[in-house]
Amino acid sequence: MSAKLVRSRRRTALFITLISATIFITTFPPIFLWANTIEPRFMGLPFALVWNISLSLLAAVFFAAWYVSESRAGALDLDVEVETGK
Amino acid sequence: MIPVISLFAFLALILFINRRQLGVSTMADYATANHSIGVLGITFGFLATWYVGAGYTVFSGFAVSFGMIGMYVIPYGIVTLLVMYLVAEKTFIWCKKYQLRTQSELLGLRYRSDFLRVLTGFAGVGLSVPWLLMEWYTIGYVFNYATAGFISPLLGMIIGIFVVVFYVAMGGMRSVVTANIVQGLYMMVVGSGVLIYVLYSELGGLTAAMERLFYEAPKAMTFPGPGWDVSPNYWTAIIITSGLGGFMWPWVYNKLFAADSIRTIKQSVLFAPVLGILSFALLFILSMALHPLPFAQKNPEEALFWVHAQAGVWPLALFAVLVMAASLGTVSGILNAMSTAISGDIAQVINRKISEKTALLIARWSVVVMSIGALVGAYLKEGQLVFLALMTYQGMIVLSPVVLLGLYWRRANKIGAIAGFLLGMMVSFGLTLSEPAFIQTYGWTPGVYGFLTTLIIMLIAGYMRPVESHVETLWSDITKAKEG
Repeated sequence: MSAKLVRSRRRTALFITLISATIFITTFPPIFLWANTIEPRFMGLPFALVWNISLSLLAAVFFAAWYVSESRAGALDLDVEVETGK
Repeated sequence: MIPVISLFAFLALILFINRRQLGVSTMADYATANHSIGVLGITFGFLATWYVGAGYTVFSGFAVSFGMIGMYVIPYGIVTLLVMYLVAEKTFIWCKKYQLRTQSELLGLRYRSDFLRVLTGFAGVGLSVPWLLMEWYTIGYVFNYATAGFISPLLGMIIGIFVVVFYVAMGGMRSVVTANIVQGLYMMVVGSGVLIYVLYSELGGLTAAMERLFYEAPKAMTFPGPGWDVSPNYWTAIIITSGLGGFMWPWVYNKLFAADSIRTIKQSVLFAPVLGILSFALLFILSMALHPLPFAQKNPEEALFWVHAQAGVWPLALFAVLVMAASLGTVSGILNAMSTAISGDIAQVINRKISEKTALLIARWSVVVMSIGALVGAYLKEGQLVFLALMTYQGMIVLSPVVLLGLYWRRANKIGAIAGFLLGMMVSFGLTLSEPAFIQTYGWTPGVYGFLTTLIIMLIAGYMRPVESHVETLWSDITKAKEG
């Protein structure tokens, strides 16, 4: 396996882990129940809601970082030959 | 009068901007727009298809009644986008190399199985029907409410069908995406604007609305909401099942086949979550804020229409167009995906002699026939549509191991995929229909058990047989493309 592919796999694993961690924190019942409170409120919004929106925005930041990292590595401009037999 | 003029103006705008897209002449163009759609089309194509019109009636009604739990849609969207990001690369490479047009064709190639292709084609069509019916009904309801009963729901549905059938049948994916851009932009910009206006004009702003909720119904500010006792596992289950199932819908997944590059798909994953989080949060915060109002509590599904009508004729008109835009976006995507599946994944597999020209004709007539059938169904079965639509998620999640393991695990094989899919469906729908006590007590939805059944069967089948030879070829396609 080439070094490029190894780096690509490591990058994918890293960002899957980070985004999955935000999903895990949002959904895992003990952590979810800990955050399922009204106080402290932000602009009147309950903490439970702010917590969920913040984690989702954090996941969006990870998506952006993943994209930038792939783009810099040249992983987004792939050449695909069309199979002529079909 | 203003709401009805606004609705007709929006429909006319959709037809006008599609006027140059109506001459599609090949099946590939009809199904995938010849892989030519850029980032704007994929982003809004994804958002406009995913946002259903019923989000402003049924799902907002859920948040009106129970408050915070309605926000499950936001983390579920993140799961869906992760799935989209993960499947994008391999789907795009194989789609381009082998000129694929649908999710079922992709599965047929990966597992080298026409049976699985037809099976998933049928499942995709069948499970989409309740959504099509529900969105038709929503279109009729929008016309009826916005005109204060002047246009009946049936006539409203017929008007909507005429417009959508015309541009989907004539323009295929190209028209669908062009319309999605307008619908998506309207939903994000005008739609969000009108929701913010109503939040301030009718409820005194965000802080005031939340203060009222805090003093009058604090239970609506946390899970599970007032008058409902459910295990916290339910929260986990609805996010995971909806998130994994959300990208498995052929009408959402097929947008990948229309993209012009992997960069386009991945760029759209940058924009979609931010746009989705902001607009969904706004919608559900407004819905939650309506909870203390007596009218909203008695009529949760009508609450958003009602509060916009209270704000004046223009907010009502803009809101009616917002719901119409969301419904049209979903309906057009469903019709395009269903007609492509009927023609390409069913008719052309059963009879391989069907020419491309005939296939296109079958797809176009499928749009017409399905629309008329759905019209009748929506009119007759209105009361059961929500139940049926939500039930389909329990089936859709079962497809996710077949797709994800197929793309990421070489050992995933045909026998495991077929057996796992069929048994997973049986478990999922069996539990949904029989409703055993442990489903309620433990909180996991039936789809979780169906998903686990499929996953376990695929894993066992994968380790019982050697890796199939064609899989090595498919994997080498990926390696070659990535190494340049």
